[in-house]
Amino acid sequence: MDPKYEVVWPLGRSAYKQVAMAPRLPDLTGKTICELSHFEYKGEEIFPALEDALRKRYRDIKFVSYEAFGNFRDPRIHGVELEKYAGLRDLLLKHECDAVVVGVGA
Amino acid sequence: MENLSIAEYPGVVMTDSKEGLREKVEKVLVENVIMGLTAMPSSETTVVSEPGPRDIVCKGDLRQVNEFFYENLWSDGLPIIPPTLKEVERFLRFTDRSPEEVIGVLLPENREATVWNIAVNGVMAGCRPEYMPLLITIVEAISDPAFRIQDGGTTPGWEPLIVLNGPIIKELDFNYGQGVMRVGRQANTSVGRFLRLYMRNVPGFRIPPGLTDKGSIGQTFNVVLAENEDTVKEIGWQPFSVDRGFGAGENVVTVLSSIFASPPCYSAGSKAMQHMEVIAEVIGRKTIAYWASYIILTAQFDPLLMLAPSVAKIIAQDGWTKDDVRQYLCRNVKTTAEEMTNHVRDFQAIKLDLCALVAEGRLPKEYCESTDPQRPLPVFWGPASPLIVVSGDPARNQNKAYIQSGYIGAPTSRKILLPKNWQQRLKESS
Repeated sequence: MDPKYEVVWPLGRSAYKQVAMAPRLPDLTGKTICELSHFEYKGEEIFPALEDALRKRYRDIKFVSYEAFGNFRDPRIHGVELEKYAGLRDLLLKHECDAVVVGVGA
Repeated sequence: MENLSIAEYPGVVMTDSKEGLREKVEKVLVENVIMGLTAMPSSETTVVSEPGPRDIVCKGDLRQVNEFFYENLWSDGLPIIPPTLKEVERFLRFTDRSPEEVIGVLLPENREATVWNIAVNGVMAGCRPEYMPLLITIVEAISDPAFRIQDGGTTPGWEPLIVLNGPIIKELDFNYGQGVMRVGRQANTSVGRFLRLYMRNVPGFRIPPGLTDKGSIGQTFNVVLAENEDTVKEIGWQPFSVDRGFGAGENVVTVLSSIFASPPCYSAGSKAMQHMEVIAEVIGRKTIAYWASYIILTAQFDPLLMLAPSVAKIIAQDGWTKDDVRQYLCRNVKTTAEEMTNHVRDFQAIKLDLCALVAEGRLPKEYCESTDPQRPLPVFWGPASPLIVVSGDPARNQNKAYIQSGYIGAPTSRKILLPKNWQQRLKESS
């Protein structure tokens, strides 16, 4: 008879902190969309094409280009990468962002 | 942030033409972006009840346990040693730390790395219980925010490389000679396997049908690279642990990312320069230079050069120190501006303007001494690069390099803390 084993779980307890998502926008008319980029994977083509496509659909939509924020991976701009920057929220508010599109991952 | 929207581009952006890209953005991507910005993802969060650390999740014979673990994506496809409570407790006898101690919370799955689950994965990987202090130290290293474990699933498919120093090498029978990087010796092999298994199960990096390991091709686990400290001492050099800021003779683990290895580089001759010229050519210009191009954006790059013991002896005999080796490579290994910009373009579609980066103060002046695309540019960054370890076949003249991924998987070192009565516990285990 083969031996039987009673075995335990190899994963760790989830330390996931639930964060409430901001409400979505009802539509993008008149809204300001901010762009964050790490300047890779053809973001310089995708973001302008996206802006053009959105302008065709939404009246008065505005954009704050990723150029305004610099490379979000570059710690030299704010001392840390942008995702770790304590002033990120204020920075986005300063630019009156209603929504943010971050790209381009690959 | 669960359910954060991702707008997927339909296809491979790097191989699409300008026109093709624009069409895909206009027809598909824009709709995905609009959906992400205007539609709240489902608010139903499925609460999954997960087991406690000591809960029995499966009862079965060896094959049943392995099938169960494989179906749940908890194994690496190789047979695992069933992690029973008894086996886990055997590992815990080799640490004085509490099993519940949380070493860190590892992204991307945000799971706790604990002494307990280190033991569980150590059992599974086929480690011996006495490897436990080393396993804990390895997890401490990858839990360091500077290591950036969250980038463990990037497309280059890097694999961690563990470098080991100290008396523990011999105490636990690590190979540091011929075949040092091949599977076959339990210590080197099982500890290397442990780290890859751990990266699957706690940070959560799994290839399909998993989701978070996006290594395009990937590679498999590296066995542990233990340094030949006998040769290092004989030739009057300091061990790698001293380069990393620790004392000679201390047990130290260093973990770094390795994207790829160089070809085996044979260098011959009874003079240091004969070896250095070959190493500069094969390992420097023909191998490391390719990846150095990408790294200039973040100005961090720590490739590792493994020198054969016989080669290190010749180099040291001629009065060279490790710093002399580094300085020689820094002066003599160059790439061209054109090669650098082309490589970065192909990898990340970034148009590098080196002179603009110099003007912004982000690169040193030497990157724009002219606008000639053939102007030579340095490959190695700073006085501490490359890292140098002496190991491998003492009977041959074969060197190798492991090319590291810059700011991702930066070399991170920790001293191994041994339990009280370590020697006695070792004796009892044997």
